[in-house]
Amino acid sequence: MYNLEGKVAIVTGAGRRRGLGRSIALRLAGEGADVIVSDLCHRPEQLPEYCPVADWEQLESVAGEVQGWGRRALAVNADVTKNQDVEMIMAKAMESFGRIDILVSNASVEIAGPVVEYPEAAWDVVMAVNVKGCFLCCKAAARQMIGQGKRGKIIIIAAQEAKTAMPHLAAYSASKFALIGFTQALALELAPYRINVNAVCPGTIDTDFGAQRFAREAEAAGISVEEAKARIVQARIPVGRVGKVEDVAKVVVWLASPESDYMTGQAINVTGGQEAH
Amino acid sequence: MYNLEGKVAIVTGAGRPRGIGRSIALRLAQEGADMVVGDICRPLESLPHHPVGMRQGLEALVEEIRGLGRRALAVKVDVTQKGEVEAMVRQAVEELGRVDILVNNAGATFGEPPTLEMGEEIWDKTFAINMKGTFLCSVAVAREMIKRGEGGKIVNVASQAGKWAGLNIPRPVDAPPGPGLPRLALGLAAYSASKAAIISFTRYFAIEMGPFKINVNAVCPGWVETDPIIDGFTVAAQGLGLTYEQLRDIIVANTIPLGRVETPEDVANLVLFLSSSEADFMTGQAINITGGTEMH
Repeated sequence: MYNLEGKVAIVTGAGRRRGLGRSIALRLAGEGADVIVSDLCHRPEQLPEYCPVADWEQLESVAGEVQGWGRRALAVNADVTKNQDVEMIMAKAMESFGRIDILVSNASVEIAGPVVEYPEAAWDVVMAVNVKGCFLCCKAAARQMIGQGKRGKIIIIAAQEAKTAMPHLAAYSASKFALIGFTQALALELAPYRINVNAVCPGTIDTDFGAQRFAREAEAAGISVEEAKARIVQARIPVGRVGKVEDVAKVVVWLASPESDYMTGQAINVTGGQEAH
Repeated sequence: MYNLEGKVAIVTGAGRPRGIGRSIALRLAQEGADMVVGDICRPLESLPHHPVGMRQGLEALVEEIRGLGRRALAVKVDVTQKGEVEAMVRQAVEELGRVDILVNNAGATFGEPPTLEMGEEIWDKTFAINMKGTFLCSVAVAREMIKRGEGGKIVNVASQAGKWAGLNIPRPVDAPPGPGLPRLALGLAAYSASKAAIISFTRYFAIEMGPFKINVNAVCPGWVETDPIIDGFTVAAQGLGLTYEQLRDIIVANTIPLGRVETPEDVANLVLFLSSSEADFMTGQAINITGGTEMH
């Protein structure tokens, strides 16, 4: 469709079989890009069991799927909250592929809980992964893109909660709101270099990340997960269904293509009509 | 790129050679859609010098589309008239079989005086063409889509003006200290309000149309070099003792992060995306395509 032949893309947080990162990586590969996929392949200490994490097997399998599309791929085990890991991702990308054209900053965690009981350590983890991780990846990738002197595309995966927060998700919501401000500022800084920076705000999407939320809502209401899902769809999603990872990947890949060359600083909702801001 | 083979699209306000409507229609046709292109095809009675799309422009466009191997129909339609709008949709269905995509592009800006001096007529005319036209076309087409039961896509061409209130020229990052450029009084009160109305209507109509698998979204272009824009800014430039090009270049350098004015093709790229199944999970949105000047 878009012809991204010759382009090299990095997708962070791509190490889960049902995840958004994988779907984005595969769509980019389908459009002709070579893809580096990264993730943290173990569970950080403060992250509760319900928050999905990647493992090396799944991450490697995603890289294998990229290769299945006839594209080159690399899997990198990296912690986006650590600058040396982020620089390592970029170094490996340059070593293997010689350029970076597209960055999809997708790595993200969620720890739920009311503010009045929220542990500091949980706050720090959410902010570190979601915000600082994004900053570090964008900084490193942008430096490389500027040096290359060609166009570039940075796509930041925020969330619907970047526009409308949810109770018990104050840290997560605040971290995602932060990404909107960051997207705008970075877009203005990188515009002279013709590097487009945009955010995507997925809504209720069928991933492990989404599933754990349905599970928690179902438990709280004393109903089945299916019932919880149906209630959410009925009450809040105009298009009448939960989103698929492909629905979000479609928008990401458009933003990675020359079709969106005149768009920057935006935060596009992909929520089936749930979010209006 | 997208494969819209078998789809039929209506684009209103497509009759001007340098217009956004024309660009949208051509792009959809290039992607495989059969096209219905409409415009008013007569001068506006009380505003005879205002640029409008004419029959010639529409027919030239139809020729071009047929040259791409698509079917095409030119329709004379005043979008403020319910009867004419309904006749257009009927004709589309009779001759091309269906309507899958509607692009509400017909719109006008009248180079308004300051609001304190604005007459009722300009206010009413602006709202009639921009908002009521969008409403009438959307309803007529949605009814047809619902009857057929296969969903559809409606894209409303709103404007950055529907989000932003006045040309607040930011200081460029490396500018020397100083007062910056003057605020331009652009005479856009009615236009901006009508475009904001389109955005609001888009959100609400999208919710209603959700169950029918009809996506409704708006696009908000910035400064596209079409005739009405060139005319309006030429007047503003004269007021500042500048040529149009001089004013344009100052504004680009100081306010458009991506460093150039917008082309009709930039708008068409986004409209195409929203008209396709790539945007199936987006509805009720008002997406900016402004080179980075609009963030909200």
